[in-house]
Amino acid sequence: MRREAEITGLGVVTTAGVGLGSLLRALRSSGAEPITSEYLSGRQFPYAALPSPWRSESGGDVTCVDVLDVCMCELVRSSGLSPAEYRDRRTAIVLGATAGRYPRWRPELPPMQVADAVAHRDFDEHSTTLEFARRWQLAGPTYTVCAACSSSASALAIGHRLLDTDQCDRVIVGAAELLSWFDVHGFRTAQLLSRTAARPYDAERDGLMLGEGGGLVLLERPGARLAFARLLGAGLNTETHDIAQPEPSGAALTRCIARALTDAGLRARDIGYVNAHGTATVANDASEAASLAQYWPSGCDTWISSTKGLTGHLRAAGGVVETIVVAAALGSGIAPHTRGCRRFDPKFSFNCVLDAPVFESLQHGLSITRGFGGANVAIVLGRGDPRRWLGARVLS
Amino acid sequence: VNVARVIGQAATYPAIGMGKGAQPSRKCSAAAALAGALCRAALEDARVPSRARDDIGLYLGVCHARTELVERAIRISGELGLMDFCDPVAFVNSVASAVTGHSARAAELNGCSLVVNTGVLSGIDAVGLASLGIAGGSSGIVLAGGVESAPSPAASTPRQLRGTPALGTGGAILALAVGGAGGVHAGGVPAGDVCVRAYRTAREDAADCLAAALHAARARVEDLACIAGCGSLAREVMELLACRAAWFHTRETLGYLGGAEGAIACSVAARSLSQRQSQGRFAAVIGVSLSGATSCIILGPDPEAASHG
Repeated sequence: MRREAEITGLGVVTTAGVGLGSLLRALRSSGAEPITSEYLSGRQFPYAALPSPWRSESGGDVTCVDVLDVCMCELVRSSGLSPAEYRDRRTAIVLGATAGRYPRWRPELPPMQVADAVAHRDFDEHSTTLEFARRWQLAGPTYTVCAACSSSASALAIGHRLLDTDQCDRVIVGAAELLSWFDVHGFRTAQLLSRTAARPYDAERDGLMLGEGGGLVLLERPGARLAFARLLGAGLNTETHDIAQPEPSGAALTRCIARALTDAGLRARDIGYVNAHGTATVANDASEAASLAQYWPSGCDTWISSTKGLTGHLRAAGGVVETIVVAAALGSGIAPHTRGCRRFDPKFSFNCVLDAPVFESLQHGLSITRGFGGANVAIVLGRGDPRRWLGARVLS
Repeated sequence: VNVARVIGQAATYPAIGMGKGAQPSRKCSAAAALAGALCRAALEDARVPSRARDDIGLYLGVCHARTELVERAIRISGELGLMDFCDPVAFVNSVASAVTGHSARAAELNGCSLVVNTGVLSGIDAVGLASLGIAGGSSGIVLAGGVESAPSPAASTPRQLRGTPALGTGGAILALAVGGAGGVHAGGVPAGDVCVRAYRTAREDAADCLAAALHAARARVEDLACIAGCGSLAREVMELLACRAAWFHTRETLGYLGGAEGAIACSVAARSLSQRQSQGRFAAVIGVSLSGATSCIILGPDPEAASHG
């Protein structure tokens, strides 16, 4: 039987701001429209940008490592982790990544020339992890996990396993993403970007909205310090239908959720809140809805929503940020609503939170992420220590 | 001790063909094609029937697979003179996890699949993390290893500019299972059981890392029949140890193979245990990277083989 791990520290940066207080404030607010702070390509495509101004530590171009730095400061503050602890060799670092530490996209920047030696090195996914470890003088094992948009969720499962098999005493897990030329124009020419905003599960949804941000969580064994949430289990699998398109029936995702519930020793009805992947693309939402309806049909007691209308699609960082959202939902008794969904697709029949957040005591939550290559990940959390959330609620 | 059994494997390291890797298409990188072929071969070697493949996971160590398609996408936009065009097919397939996605499709695997990138240690770490998954009970059978494919001359230029060695083509995949997995038989390569201890620390303590791994596997340096190393500094560690085991250094023998080096070292170590003179002994795989990380895995004898004489 797998042992539990606890989330004892966290740091998060989204378009809503820096820190848990900003995220909680945004989750509690009842605005119906997605947050679309910036636009790409002559205002054709909205995206959820980092709050500006955002500066690099070195004064140069901002990279993912700068976002991780801010998350790490928040994590240290929230957990009380000492430098001796995070620099300890028994503290592992597992980061998710889809790309390296390329400079943040600006409209006037040309495509990064891969023929450039420095740019080439910076395309390496592990370069972000190494630079982050160097800045914080981390001496423990470092891993970079790549599973596209499921990367940081997979990293959480790997981190849990490292703790469970006694490879380390604590694990720092997370990811950060900024817009790059490759992302902006890759998603655009693949016709996956919305021209309006992210409208998950809406009948007129037309694509995803990219986002910028990141998150880090500290995983420890139970009893190390007061927990924000308990990591109870995970399910990971692969759907081989297509590299970029999900299986329409959602069968593989259904198996993934079943695996996560079994791993956590829970039943579907034990779950109070599900943060779904909900990218707002036509194919993803339909496939996901088919799977969700099997476990939590309309009228059941489990609340489901997508928060990509708030954070945008954070690619590698989506898993960890949405896990933090689930932790916040359990800790502060709030099931956030699906920002951007104006008219729930009548073909879907699951219990989606629309219009405004639901305030209710929740014991267990689930976070679902999916990625190119067919990687599905479901993470099951349990509510942490209520005392942990008192300060955060005051801040929000 | 975390124990996983090696029940099959497949490897290819055509050092002579360095710089002449398979031609990638927009839809599939050469590394992905190679990984898919190796996965199928490893499963055949392990005699895992098709009907039993549904929940098999895949952990791949890969460092440079996306370079080729990223270069292609950017080059095409340059040639077209369009700053805001990115070949959408190359974009989707340039994601690192497209390598595992293509491989999973090729070998009909539906378990967990992910890419581990820890530089030259990627292959060792993929095998180490996969074995932890087996030890933790999350999978019955897992394929683990690493692949790389030599990029085109255009995509190789930056490496040459930095004075780093040219990337070759190669890879190895091991089929790992829990001891006594139902319906699974030992493969064509009687590699023996594997006790695995993945452990990493700072470079200067690489020898300590091996000592700790041996301790965890309840083995001594004298028990080692073979040490297989990868990465630029592994040889120094081997010399530090001054043990009499046979040794194999991937980089010196096959050239630079990125994330595949550790996997090939694991494959060589596992094969060494199948030799008659190695029976009952251990093999170590150690990797040391320039970034200051060390990974070590200990492969042990097959207790079932011992009990059968």
